Amino acid sequence: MRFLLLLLPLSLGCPMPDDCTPLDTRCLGGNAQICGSDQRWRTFVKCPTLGENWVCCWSEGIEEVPSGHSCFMPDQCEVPDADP
Amino acid sequence: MLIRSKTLRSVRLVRLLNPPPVTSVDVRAFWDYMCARHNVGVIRKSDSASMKVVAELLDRMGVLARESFLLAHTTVVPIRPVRGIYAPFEPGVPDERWSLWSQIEVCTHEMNHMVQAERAGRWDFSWDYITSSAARAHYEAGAYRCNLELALRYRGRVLNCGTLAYKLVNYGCSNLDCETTEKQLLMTLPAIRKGAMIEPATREAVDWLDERFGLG
Repeated sequence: MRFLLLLLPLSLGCPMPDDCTPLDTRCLGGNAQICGSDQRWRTFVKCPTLGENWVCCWSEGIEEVPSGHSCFMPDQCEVPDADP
Repeated sequence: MLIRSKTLRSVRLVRLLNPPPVTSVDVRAFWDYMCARHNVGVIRKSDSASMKVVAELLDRMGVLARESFLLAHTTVVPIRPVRGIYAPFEPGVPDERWSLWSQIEVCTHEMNHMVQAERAGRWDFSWDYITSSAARAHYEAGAYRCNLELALRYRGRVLNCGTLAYKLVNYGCSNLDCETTEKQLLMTLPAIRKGAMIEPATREAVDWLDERFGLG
């Protein structure tokens, strides 16, 4: 019981995973997010902060850049509105 | 319009060929400016008793060699009473490991961690950074993006995202954490190539550097 009580603050400090697949990307509210090794989504760039021409969308990979969601100019988007 | 875009191109070319010729005075002034903005001081790592204890612990745990932690890594602590940036060099004094330009880059990298700590909350940031390798990788990705942004803007160089990301193996991160970091760095390359500045500390650094070197 004492052991469980000791674990309680630890468990409260650990948010539940989103059950996403690590390395997946998505757009949410104009933000580009990536799924981490702990299966939680994290925002890696807020597209509106880059300027009014930047949008979050899906783009096919070009050269070293893999396919996925990030901030692009609209003409680089494969799917213009990629918010799920 | 055409003239303007030609001018912009030539400014970029000049930057590429002539990265800012930083002097010791510039580097000290840059650190003073960034430290004042974030209300934080610089402490020489080798002078800090707490950092020596951390170095010993990491060494005994087999995470990082003592000398490497003390000489090759800059560490940021956002919480009082030990709040500070613990640097293995004196800003403005170059040595074989730390050139003047690398001192500009590492200052920006560490100040980005300060911004992350302010945004997430200093305690939450510190807790997440220490207890979650995924969170640690994510915070480091943001700070490495500063290195990417500065290198491309002032030296015309695209740093290798994989090399940056896999440094995190030394930070107790898994291969999957490194892979996630590499992917999110690569995913922002197109925007950075177009001149976007994603990280807040980069924007602060660029404001200062462009004004100092008349590149605005």
